[in-house]
Amino acid sequence: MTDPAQPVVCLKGVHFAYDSQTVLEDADFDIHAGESVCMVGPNGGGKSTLIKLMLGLIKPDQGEVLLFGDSPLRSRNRVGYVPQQVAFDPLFPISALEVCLMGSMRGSSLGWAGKTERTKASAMLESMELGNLAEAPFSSLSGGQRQAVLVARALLAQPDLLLLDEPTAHVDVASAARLMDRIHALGEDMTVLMVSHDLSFVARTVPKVVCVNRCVHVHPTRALSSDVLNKLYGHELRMVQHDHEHLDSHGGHCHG
Amino acid sequence: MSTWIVMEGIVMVEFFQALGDPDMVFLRYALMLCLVASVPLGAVGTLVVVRRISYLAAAIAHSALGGIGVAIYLREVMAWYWLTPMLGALLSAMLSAALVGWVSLRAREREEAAIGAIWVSGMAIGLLCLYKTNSYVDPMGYLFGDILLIQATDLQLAGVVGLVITATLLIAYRPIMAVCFDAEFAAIRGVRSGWVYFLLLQMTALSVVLLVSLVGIVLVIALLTLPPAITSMRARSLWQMVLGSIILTASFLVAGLLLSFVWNVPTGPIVILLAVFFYMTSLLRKRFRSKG
Repeated sequence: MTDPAQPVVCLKGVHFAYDSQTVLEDADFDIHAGESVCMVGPNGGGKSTLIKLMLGLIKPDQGEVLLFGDSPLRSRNRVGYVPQQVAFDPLFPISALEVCLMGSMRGSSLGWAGKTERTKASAMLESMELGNLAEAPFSSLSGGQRQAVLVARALLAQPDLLLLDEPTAHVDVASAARLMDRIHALGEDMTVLMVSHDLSFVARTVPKVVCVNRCVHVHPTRALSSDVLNKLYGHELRMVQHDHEHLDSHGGHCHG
Repeated sequence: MSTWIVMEGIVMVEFFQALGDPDMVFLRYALMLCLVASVPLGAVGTLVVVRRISYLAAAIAHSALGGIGVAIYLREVMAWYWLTPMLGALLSAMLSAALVGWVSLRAREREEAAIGAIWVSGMAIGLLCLYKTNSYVDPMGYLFGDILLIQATDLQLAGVVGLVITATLLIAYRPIMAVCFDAEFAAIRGVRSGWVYFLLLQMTALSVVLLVSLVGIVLVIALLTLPPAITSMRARSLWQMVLGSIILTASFLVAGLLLSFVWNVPTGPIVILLAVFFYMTSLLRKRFRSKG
């Protein structure tokens, strides 16, 4: 049982370098249960490296990464992950259902998925409004539908923490909004950490932002100002305030 | 025209009679090898194609010549008669598979160059050893296949390898499919992606060696990749693709063997030309269908 006061994600003085190139320096932050947080920053700033550290795919050179008070590898069954996209052979004959079923795999999974697992995966696809496409080849789906299947795959094991690496990078604005609505509807108690480049999306979606550019700073979303963004991206950016109700009804704007 | 058809028919009858001829035992061996080797070759070929590692499989196949050359040399110089050329090919292909796997997963140097080095060094070692062997050994038989090279032990080896590969696929189907589709996600779910990838490369090594004597080191890679490439155009699941590839591989091998007997030409090139012909025809059919 997890202590409710214990952070779901805890980074303490994390330092990471690829060869001699430092990517992260003294990264410290906590994310608590039920929080929805976005991670923003320039390309090469260390966002994907942070996600990989949390997934246990790489280890920090210094410092500590803890999920639920334990190592990422030991916590992996409580974590769901949605990549930006899957680089796969378009002729790979695999259905949406089979992709979704990968979400319930464990290290010891052998043979084929059982009937119960298949029923659960079908129900998950149904909840993502993809029930009629369960047997469709994954490669025949649109970008938004594929991303929804990857979300379903991540949610199938009912994770306590969901990590999303630019889940809406290759989908249109309306599909992105629908996708996020479904994620929130399916995992109300889930902790969500998402990488995004879309600052308007961040402003509308989460109350807290992790700014990553070699160093890590955490801000409430409302505190994001032109100054903060200029420092983060090292380039002059202009914040434009929009009426959010107006925005939602017209499908979104580009911000800069 | 009709005389030609009659002649071909007579030769085909002779082929089936030859299968029962005690002096033509190599033909029976060849036919049995075609049928037995189709299972591992079709199954592993499917995984090689969907995982897009045909280049690695080619490097593994070509490096088998190193093992063949070393085995022949050691048999003559050191009297290691237990080390058959096929066993040498198997060991060197498995070693190359391990090296290729390590390079593609871990090495930070240019992957293509390192894999190319493994590819050509295997061939170079093999050719040097064959050159240093006093009794003349023609490398062409190993490079492009020669059904006279097939021994009863090859059949036994093919049977064992076929069983091992089929059992591995049945037991580890889910992790293997997950790693072929999305290795990173499989690793996140706790699958040892690196090990599964090594296993796939080792199965590739075992499969290509099976057909070295029949179609040769150079041509075997086409037989590993073309049947799955054809079936992938219509298959709706990985298992359909595996079964289709096994059937097509067996058909190409048996038809190639028969035609090579009828026309009195080497088997390997005929098998490969058949596979290429069907692949091109399938591509054209697909193109016309999508336009229609």
